[in-house]
Amino acid sequence: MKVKLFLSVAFFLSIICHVSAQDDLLKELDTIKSKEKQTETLGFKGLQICNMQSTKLTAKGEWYVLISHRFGDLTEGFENFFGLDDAYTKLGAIYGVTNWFSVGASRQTNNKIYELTLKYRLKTQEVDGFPVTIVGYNTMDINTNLSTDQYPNLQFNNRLAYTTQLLVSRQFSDKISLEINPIYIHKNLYDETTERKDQFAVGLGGRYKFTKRLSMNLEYAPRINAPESEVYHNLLSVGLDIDTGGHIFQMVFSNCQTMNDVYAFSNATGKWNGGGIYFGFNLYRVF
Amino acid sequence: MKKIKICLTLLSSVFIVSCESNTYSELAPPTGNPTYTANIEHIMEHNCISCHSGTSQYPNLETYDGVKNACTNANLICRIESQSCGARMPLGGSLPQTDIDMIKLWAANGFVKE
Repeated sequence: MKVKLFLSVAFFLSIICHVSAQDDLLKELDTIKSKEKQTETLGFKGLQICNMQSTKLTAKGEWYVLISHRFGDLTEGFENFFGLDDAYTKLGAIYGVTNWFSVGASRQTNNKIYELTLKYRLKTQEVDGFPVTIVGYNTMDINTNLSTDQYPNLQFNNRLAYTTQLLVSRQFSDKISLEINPIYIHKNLYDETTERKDQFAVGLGGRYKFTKRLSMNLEYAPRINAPESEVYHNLLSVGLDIDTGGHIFQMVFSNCQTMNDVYAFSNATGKWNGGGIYFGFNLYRVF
Repeated sequence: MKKIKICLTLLSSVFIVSCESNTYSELAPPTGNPTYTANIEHIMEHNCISCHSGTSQYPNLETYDGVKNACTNANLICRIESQSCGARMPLGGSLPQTDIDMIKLWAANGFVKE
C-alpha cells in the first residue's frame, strides 16, 4: 500500500516537473524568437510632427542643428505683409548620446526662452511583435525676459516651466503613421485668470507619406482642464515635410506662433476660425 | 530596466530644481497708485519695445508721452485686453491680468508720471 502511494506521488511529481520543463523549453524558444524580431522602420521622418515631437530620435553621436521660424499672423494680410514683419526665431541643437537617448537645447525670440530637452526611447515597434514605439520626452524652459524691475518678488525658480510627455506612435503602413501623446505641463509662474499651474493635454498627430521625399503632417492637442478663457486655444497645426537629403524641411501652418512646448500646448493664441494663423518652418541639418 | 532607471534619475534631478508655483500678482503686489517710472515703463520695456521702438512699429512705446498717446489715441488698452480692436498684444501671448489692470488703473488715475 505504502509502495503504491509512494509511486503515485513520484509519478505526480514527475508529471509536474515534465510540464514545467516543457514550459522552460517553450520560454527559451520564445526568447530566441523575440531576439530575431525585426523593428519597424521609422514612421516619422522628422524629429517633430509640426510643433509636437515625433518618436524619432537622433542616432548615437549625431548632431542636429535646428532652425525654426514662425511668421506673424497670416490673416492680417498686407498690414504685416502676411506675417513677414513679425517673425519669431528658434535656434537650437540636439545631440544623440546613445541611439535611444538624446539631449537638446534651444533659444527662441518670444520671452527669450531657453528650452532644455531630454528624449529617450523606451520601446520600439516590432514586426509581428510589440505594436507601438514609446518615447519619453521632457522639456524645461527658462524664461529670461522676466525682470525684478517689473516683478520685485521674482526668484529664479519662477522662470522655469516644464512638460513631461509620453509619445506613443504606430506605423500602420508605409504611408500612414499615427501618434498619441499624453502631456503634463507645469508652470512655476502663471496667470490665474487664463492659465493653470498644472495643465494636462493630449497630443494627437499623424503623417501621411505622398512620395519618398514628401509627406503631410497633422497635429491637434486638446487641453483637458483648461480654464474658461478666450485668450488661449487648443493647438492645431498642419505641415508638409520635404526631405532634401541632408536635411528635413518642414513647412508649418499653426495657431501657435511661439515654438516651445509649454506655450504650444497651453498658450496657443490663434484660432483657425477667427484669426491667428502662423506660417513658418522647421529646418533640421544633420552633422 | 537599466534604461528606465537612468531616465527616472534624470527626470527626478530635473524636477528637484523646483516646482513651487506663484502667480504674477504674488510677484508684483498690486499698487493703488501706479506711476510711469515705477511700474508702466518696466512693463513696456520687457513686453512691447522690442517691436514698438523707433519708427519700426506704430505706436512708439519708449517714452512717457508715447505710451500716454497710445492709450488715448491708439487703443492701447483695448489691444492688450481683447481682440476687438485688432490682434491682441503682445504677440505670442497675453500680458498677465495684473499688468493689464495696472495699466488701466494708471490711465484712469490720469497718467501719473512719477
